Parts: sequence; structure tokens; C-alpha cells
Amino acid sequence: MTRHHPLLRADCIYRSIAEARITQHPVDEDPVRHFAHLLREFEREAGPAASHDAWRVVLARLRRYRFNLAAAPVPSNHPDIQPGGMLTLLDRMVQICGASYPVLESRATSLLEVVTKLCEEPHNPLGNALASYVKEQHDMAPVLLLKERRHVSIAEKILRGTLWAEGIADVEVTALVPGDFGDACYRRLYVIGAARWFPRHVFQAPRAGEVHVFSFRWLRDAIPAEGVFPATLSRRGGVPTIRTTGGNPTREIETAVIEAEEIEPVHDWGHILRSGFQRSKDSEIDQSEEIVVARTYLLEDGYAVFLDAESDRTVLTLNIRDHEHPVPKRIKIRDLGPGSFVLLRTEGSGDYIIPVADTLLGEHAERVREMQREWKHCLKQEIKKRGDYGAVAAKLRSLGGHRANEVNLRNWVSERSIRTEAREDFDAIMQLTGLEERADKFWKAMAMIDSAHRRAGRHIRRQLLQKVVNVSTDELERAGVMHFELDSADSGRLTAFRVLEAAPETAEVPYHLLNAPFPWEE
Amino acid sequence: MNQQGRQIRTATSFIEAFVPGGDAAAYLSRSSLDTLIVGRINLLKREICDTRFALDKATGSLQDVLRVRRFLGSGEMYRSEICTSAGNRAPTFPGEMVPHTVIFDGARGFLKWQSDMQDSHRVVMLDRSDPEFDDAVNLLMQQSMSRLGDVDLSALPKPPAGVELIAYRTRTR
Repeated sequence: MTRHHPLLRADCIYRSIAEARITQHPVDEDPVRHFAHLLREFEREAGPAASHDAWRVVLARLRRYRFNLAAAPVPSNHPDIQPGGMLTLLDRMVQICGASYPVLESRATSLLEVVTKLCEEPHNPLGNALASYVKEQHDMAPVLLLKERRHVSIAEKILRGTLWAEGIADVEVTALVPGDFGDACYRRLYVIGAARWFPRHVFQAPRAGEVHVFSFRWLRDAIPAEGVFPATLSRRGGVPTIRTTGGNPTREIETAVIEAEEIEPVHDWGHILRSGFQRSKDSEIDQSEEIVVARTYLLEDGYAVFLDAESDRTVLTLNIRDHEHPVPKRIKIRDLGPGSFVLLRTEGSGDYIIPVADTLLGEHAERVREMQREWKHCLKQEIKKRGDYGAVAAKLRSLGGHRANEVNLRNWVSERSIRTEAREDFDAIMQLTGLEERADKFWKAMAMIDSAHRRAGRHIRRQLLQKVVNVSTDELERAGVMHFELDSADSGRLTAFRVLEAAPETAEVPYHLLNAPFPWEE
Repeated sequence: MNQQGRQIRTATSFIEAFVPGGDAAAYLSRSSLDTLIVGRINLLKREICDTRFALDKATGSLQDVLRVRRFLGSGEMYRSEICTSAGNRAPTFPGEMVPHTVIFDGARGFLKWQSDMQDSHRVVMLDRSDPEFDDAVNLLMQQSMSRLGDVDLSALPKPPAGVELIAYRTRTR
């Protein structure tokens, strides 16, 4: 994609919106609809039993499968859209139903039959409807808009294959998710799935002259037509025209219709948190380890990460906005949002600065790190002895540590900080912990670590700059994940992950789990 | 000297074409903080300084009209300033100057600093595909609840397709 002048890009977007026509293509299909309804009926009948651990795990997979079938133009028997272990788990539940859940036995058996059939036979109603339309339009470069990135490459491959089987070769299929638009405009855009699953701007300010929505008729859906501001207060420019092919999009009888929102997957953040905790081996669990407040971020490629949720903490990112090549940039973690690219160490522990800093410290590394551990350990012991942070902070103030308060004390004792900013605060700690005779040595050692960390940061940034100059922003945006092997052996491999979503709530996690990406599954 | 003289003449004719009947010479002869633009500086710089426009027979750039201090040489008369929406601190100005109007180009700057800019008129431009669009719309709607009055938009030309305009009056600090 060529990067045009911003005004030309803006002009292209306005023209696209002014000409936009949205067409809904409701797709009629029985096996998937049958499965969707059976699953809903089963959940209703199961009631509270659906939340029992055994059923919860199976139902989560069945729900995910139902969503995949409605959101990806991919055959139902394709392994990429079948959640792992779904059939085996369901089969096991059916077997124990007679004894444990007799009321559910008949429905569970029907469900197993239907799902087994779908998993064995290649039902792809959305893909077939889409391929027919693309063929009819002689569209040799179709652009698909999908709800989830995990479906992008498989959807491209399947559509290319379907068209090829019909004698249409050399079709350049591109699949996107809404965050990929950037400033681009297209002639036609094929949206797969319910319109309600996509951001409103996809339909209110379309990036294509023609937008075609392919979705099941049994999904109750609506193109968002209302403005963002109340009509009484605002003035609105033109809006795209909307039409539907083949009659009412939801002409089924009311009971046969499922609300689009009902089948949209909702992340179980508690489960993702537990997946992250499971990485801690027993040997790593240290009762005295610092616990930090962190937020979970979902990353591209099935990964998640815990990042420090304290207000001023920063993280290294690749800035892709308005640059031909990504530019390394440190930003506040609170400013990290969906679409940002965060750089994380994917070899070794989560913190990439420490190993590089230790290399720069050379023969001094072991000694000064030991001294860092020593004074922090003594301070922790003092806090433990006196019972609370407030009492220790008060004592430090009485010893000349004017900046000592509960918040700063928590920071000083933390493994994330190196030393206090002011020498008098450090001296007060030395006095309190009985280390005052070696205070100068400690202060100088911490200064060495501090300086090494700064140099390590610059060193990594320089190396990254050399690497990213060979990568285009478009390439990174398209891939979503990119590895950078740094030359210095200790910095290892950094991976740029696109951030997909941030957990609404924070959680307490052990310090060593911060910044280390982990795989998770729904 | 000659070169400077030509620059001023070019700027004067472009301003006069841009604002017919305006006193371009007077406009260029003194500094004031008429407008503050909060947005992405590299992008705005391309639009303001590097894009040439032709109006009647005059040519120039938006910088001729905006006269953004950051993009001028020292000692030149400015009429506006620009600051990044990515920074961590609200912008401050020499001599406690207060911009007459603040233009927030994007949700980020608006969400961060609108509360620091309540002595100025505010223009907020939001992109529907901005991840913070909904937050900014919610804030605007929340503020509109305590508005002093509406602004009649009917005199304005119809906005371009896909654009929604909203305007209201609020109490200044």
C-alpha cells in the first residue's frame, strides 16, 4: 500500500463515504442453524448445571465453534475453526449424562450428533455465498472484513481455493479486521458475520463504495444507522444507503432467531489470569516475592501478558502511526490500547533490560546485584518487623528521609526500582537497616546499576532501530506479530505483538510474571 | 532582504485571497495566540507547511495563514501554536497567555487536556475509527448536559457524508 499525502487520503475517505452503498446478503442454511438453536436450548435447559466445571469447559468450546461458524467463511470440518478437544469432551459428558444429568441426556445426545456431523462434513454456507457473489462480480481482488484476526489467513486461503476450483485463478484475496484499515479505501468490502459485531464506523463511514454483509438469516442483526449524537443537537452529512437482497434479513419465526450479541464470545478474564499463573512452576513460587497490581492484555497469535498497572510505568512499543517503518518508542502502559505494538522478550525472563545491563556491568554485575538484593531484603525485614509501611515511613522521615511515605516506600522496596532519587532518603534507609557504614558503597553500586540500565535501554533501542529499518509498517500491521533477534546474545529475542484487548479490571500477580507473554486458550 | 520581501508579499497575497477584505499586513505585524492546535505534530506539519494551495491567483500554504510559532523562525510574528497530543503534560504558554480557540485534532488530546483548556473556545475533531472515539463522544455528551445553550448549525453548509456536527455553549472557567 502506497502512503499518499494525508489530504489525498482524507479526500479518498470522504468520497468513499459519499458513494457508499451497503447491501445485506442474508444466508439461509440449516445444519449450522440447527446446531446454534440446539446449543441455545441445551443451555436454557441445563440452567445452573451449565456453570458446573465439567459443562462449563465443554460449553465454552461449543459456543466458540458456533461463533466461528458464523464469523468465518470456512468449512465446518476445517480443524482451524474447531476448538481443541470439543468433540471428545462432549462425548465424555454424554456418557456420564445418564447418571449425573439424566434430564439433559437426550438433548446432549442430539447436540453430539449434530456437532459430529458438522465436524465431519464440509458445510460452508457463508463461504459459498461469498464465493458465488465474488465470481458474479468478476472481482479479482476481493477484500474481506472479518471479526477476528485468527480467521484471516484461513479465510483468504479457502476463498482463493474455492474460486480456483471454479476455474478462477490468480485472484488476490485480502482479509482484514477493522483495526487494519489505516487510511486505506477499497472499491468493495465483504463483511463476514453480523454487522453488530463490528465497530459502527465500518457502516457509518465506510471505507468502500460497496459494502456487502454476508451473515446468517437466523442471526438478528441491524446495520447501525443512528448517529452518535442526538439528532436534536447535531447536523449530519449524507449517510450510506442500505438494501437487503432476498427479503427480510431475519424472516424466521421469532423463536428461531438468535440475537447477534448472544453468540459473540466474551472473554473469561479470570480463566486467562489462571492460565498466566499456571506458568509459575512450584520451584519459582517464593512466598516473599513481591506482588504487583497488573492488567492482562490479550495479544496477537493467542498470547496474553501481565503488565504493571501502576500509573507511571512504561513499556517499549513500536510506533506505526505515520511512519514508513516502525519506530521504537517507550510509552506509559496506561496509554497502550488495541492496535498498539508492544515489544516483549520472548526468550528468557520478561525483562530484557536486566540481562543487557548485566552484560554491560561485566565482572561487577554479580556483586552489585547482590548488594541491591541485600539492602532491599533488609528493608523488607524492617517492614515485616514493624508491621506496616506507615510506621517504617514515619521512622525514615525521623531519620531525615523527607520523601518517605507509604507509596514511595513500596516503590523503594520493589524489585522494579533501583534506588531512591535523593541521597538523604537512601541514607535514612541505610541507617534504619543498620547498613549505614557501607552506605557510600551501596549508593555507588546502585548508581552503577542505574547507569547500566539506561545504557542498556539505549543499546536495545539502537539495535531495534537497525532491525526495524528493514521492516515496513504495512508488513508489521499485516503480520500482527514479528520477532526481532538482537545481536547481543543476552538481549535475546524481542517480539512485537499487536495488542488486541485490555482486561477491564486489574489483578494482583507475582512480580516475575510481569512482561512475560503466555499462551492462552478460551 | 529581497528574499524576505518576496516571502511577505506572497504570504500577504495568500492571506488576502484566503480572507477577502482582511488586513493582511496588520495580521502579519504582531503576535498573538489566536489558536492552539493539539494533535500529531508530524502529520499536521505536513498539512500545514508542506502542502501548497492555490486560491485565485495566490499560492501559499496553511502556515501562511496559521503562522504556527513552532514552525517559524525566532522573532517572526506568530498567530497560533501547536502541541502534541502524545505528551504527558498539558501545554503551557509564555506570559500565561490563553489561546482564544483550542482545536483538538483527535480524541487523545481532548480526553487528556480539555479540562485544562476551559478558558478557551474549543473545537473538537474526532475520527470515527479512533480507538478512543467512544470515550470522547461520551465526554462531549456529558458536558453537553450542562450546556448554557445550543448553537444554530443551520447556517452552515451541509457537512460532508459521514460527518456529524454538534455545537453548544458552555460556561468558561
